[in-house]
Amino acid sequence: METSNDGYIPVLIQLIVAGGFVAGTLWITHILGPNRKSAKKLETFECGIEPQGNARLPFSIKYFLTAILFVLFDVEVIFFYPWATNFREFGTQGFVSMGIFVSLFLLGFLYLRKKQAFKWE
Amino acid sequence: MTAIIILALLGFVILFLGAYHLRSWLVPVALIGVTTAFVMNAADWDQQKEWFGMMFSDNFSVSFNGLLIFCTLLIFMLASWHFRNEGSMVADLYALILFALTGAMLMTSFSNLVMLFIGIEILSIALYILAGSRRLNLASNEASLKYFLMGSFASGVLLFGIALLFGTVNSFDLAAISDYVNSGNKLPIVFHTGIMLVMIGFAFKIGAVPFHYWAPDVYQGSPTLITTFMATVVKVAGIAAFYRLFDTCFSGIDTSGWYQVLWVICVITILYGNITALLQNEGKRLMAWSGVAHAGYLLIPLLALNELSASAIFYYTTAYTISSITVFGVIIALGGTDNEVPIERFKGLAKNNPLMTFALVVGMFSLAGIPPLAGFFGKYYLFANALSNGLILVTVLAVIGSLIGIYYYFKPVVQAFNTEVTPVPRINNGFAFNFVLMLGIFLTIVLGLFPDVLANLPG
Repeated sequence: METSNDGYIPVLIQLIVAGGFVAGTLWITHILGPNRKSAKKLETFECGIEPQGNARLPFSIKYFLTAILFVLFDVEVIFFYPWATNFREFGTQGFVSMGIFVSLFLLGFLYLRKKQAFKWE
Repeated sequence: MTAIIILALLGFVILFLGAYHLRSWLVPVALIGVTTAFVMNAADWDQQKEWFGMMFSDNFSVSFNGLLIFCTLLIFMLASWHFRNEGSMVADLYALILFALTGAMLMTSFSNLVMLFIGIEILSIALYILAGSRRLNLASNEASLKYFLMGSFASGVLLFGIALLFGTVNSFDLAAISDYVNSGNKLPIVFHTGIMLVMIGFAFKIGAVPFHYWAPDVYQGSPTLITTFMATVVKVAGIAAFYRLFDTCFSGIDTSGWYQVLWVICVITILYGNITALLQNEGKRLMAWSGVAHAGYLLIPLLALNELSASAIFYYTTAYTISSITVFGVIIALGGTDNEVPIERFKGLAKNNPLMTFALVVGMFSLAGIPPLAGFFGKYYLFANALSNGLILVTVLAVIGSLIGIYYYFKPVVQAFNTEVTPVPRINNGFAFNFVLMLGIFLTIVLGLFPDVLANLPG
């Protein structure tokens, strides 16, 4: 098998363009843009309410938890579509594999239920 | 293979035991399960089996898996004491350790680059969480975040390397890559770049200079038991996977390629790790830098790559992990849940705690490589292996490195025998804890006296 590096030259060009765009944009904005530094400029929000207190606050993660669990179980479903369309070709072995996959997910679901991850109150 | 299934299922069992608040069951079930996995793993001895073109179990993988399971067993015995005040999360920690071990075992037995990457990720993702398992401690959070950001970056680099290898060879299979390398064609630059990127990924995971920078902070911030796990199981799995890939696939490439880069990484890791460790005054950071230096020694057989290299790595990692667990046991006992265990804490240890002092002396002397302990013969096999391939300069530099190392390994030992201070009161950590220390001492001495027992295991 004869291989050469020619096929990868577009990749190299793309790398140079991507890197050059970032460096170039930074450089040009630095040159063109006005440069004023003051205490007000360096605040988190330049205009609007003044930030107060520490960022390390306890906050409710209920929504976050529900959202991430939804994503987890939603992605699982995606694996079913290719399996379902090729169900006959996969035969018994495919069925067993999918059964193992689903039962592992079911175990995770039972664990989350037991840990009360779905309780909103 | 059966062992991997057992450990993965055991993780689930432990999770559910925790969810049903059966706390007193956790340690017995974990110990029984891990022991069963050890036996099932040993039953695969002297059989070569292929699994779905993804994994290949041979004596190399069986012996390294045995070592990994054994280390986890010792760590679990320490865990029951270390986690005694931990809240309801403790079952999750045991389960995560088991999942990490499963990933580590995939890393020693892969025959396909996809399986290698999955193994590394299973190991790493569990560890990112474990590093931050002391949730209310800022240092632990910091360790977790640092490890996660840098580790995922390193995984990305490794994946890019794998992609470039796939781009040239058109296969993830180790045998196909090996055939491609040995077919005599001129290898394209992209292939060499792929090897370099994969090497960077591995160097990060085992903590070799210049990709070691995460190690001291992460080792210090993590709970000490997790640090022990990182310093032993993760390092062994990383170096085993590194060796397996490079020995199978890239040993046919002449010395102009990856060899020179690895040579430099190996030498600067040994020297930089040992010299920086001289400056440390804190137990966990000292062990982190010592771990960096040991990663350097473990890279020597990758340069030699002859039929005895696997045995040399196996013997060295066994000596290193057992000695490390012994020393970390003492650090856990002294430091408890503290993030920092300064060297001064060892002052006056000898007076009331003879077993712990003996464990510290044996463990540190073995890590330093003083005969007749296991660490000495580990270094002996490594250097003999390197010399048989004519790697004289590396060997000389490694010997200089280990001579430097003796100084900092002696620092805590000297403090332990300091009689000018009020001695450390007697610490009683229960039977399992003392058993681990005694087993560590026993194995370190016995392996030193009879190195032949393990010398030719991976074959």
